[in-house]
Amino acid sequence: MEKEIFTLDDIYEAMMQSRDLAVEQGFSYNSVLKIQLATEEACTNAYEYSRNRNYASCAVKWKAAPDYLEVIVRQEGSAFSLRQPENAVMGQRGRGITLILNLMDFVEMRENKGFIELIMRKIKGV
Amino acid sequence: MELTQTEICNVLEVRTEVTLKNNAHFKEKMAEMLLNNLKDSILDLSNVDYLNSSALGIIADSAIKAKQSDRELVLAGIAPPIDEIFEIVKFGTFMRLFPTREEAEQYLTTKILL
Repeated sequence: MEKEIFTLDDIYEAMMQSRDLAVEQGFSYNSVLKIQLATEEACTNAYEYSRNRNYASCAVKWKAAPDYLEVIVRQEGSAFSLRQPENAVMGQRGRGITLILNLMDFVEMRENKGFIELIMRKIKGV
Repeated sequence: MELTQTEICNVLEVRTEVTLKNNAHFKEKMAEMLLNNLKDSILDLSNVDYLNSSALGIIADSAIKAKQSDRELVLAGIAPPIDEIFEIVKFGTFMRLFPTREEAEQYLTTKILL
């Protein structure tokens, strides 16, 4: 299942898709919220990055397995840091990656031929 | 989102999730609350289960602006499930977070009396 992100409405639909899949799979209420939020943050980051550089659309896809749900966001560009700041961020921006890394159980970035994929996995029961 | 005033503070009570759909409206209401800089302010999130990083940015920026006016913005309703989000971004290191509105109001009342 894959969805291209062209607009903010597409991001919202992707969030709802993540939520619906998580509910279907029997994730707890808290985990559903976390998956939805990680989807919003990752898609918003990819959308803004792509727009700022006039890249083509970014995309999100899902992989549902018996014991986990993966949300994968794909965009043009090169890998970026997944490091969290040590101290609180005081400004208006810069918290998205920190949230993703803490809300999801497994986060990995893969780079391939000018594209990057951010793979975020939530494990059931964790 | 409902903005009210008590004798001691301004209160913005949010009753919906804060997503990219209503970030702009949330920002407007926060700015409106801080216009009254004769009082401290409470952002009451008791009925909020979800807020995104943009909302967190608006809150952080508002806390700084309040401080610049020699006022304080505190948060109420910081309880599950959103308390974990505020812990992740370490908001407790630069602003006061309360589990209930009553505790937030009690803090601001005590502040005035001292």
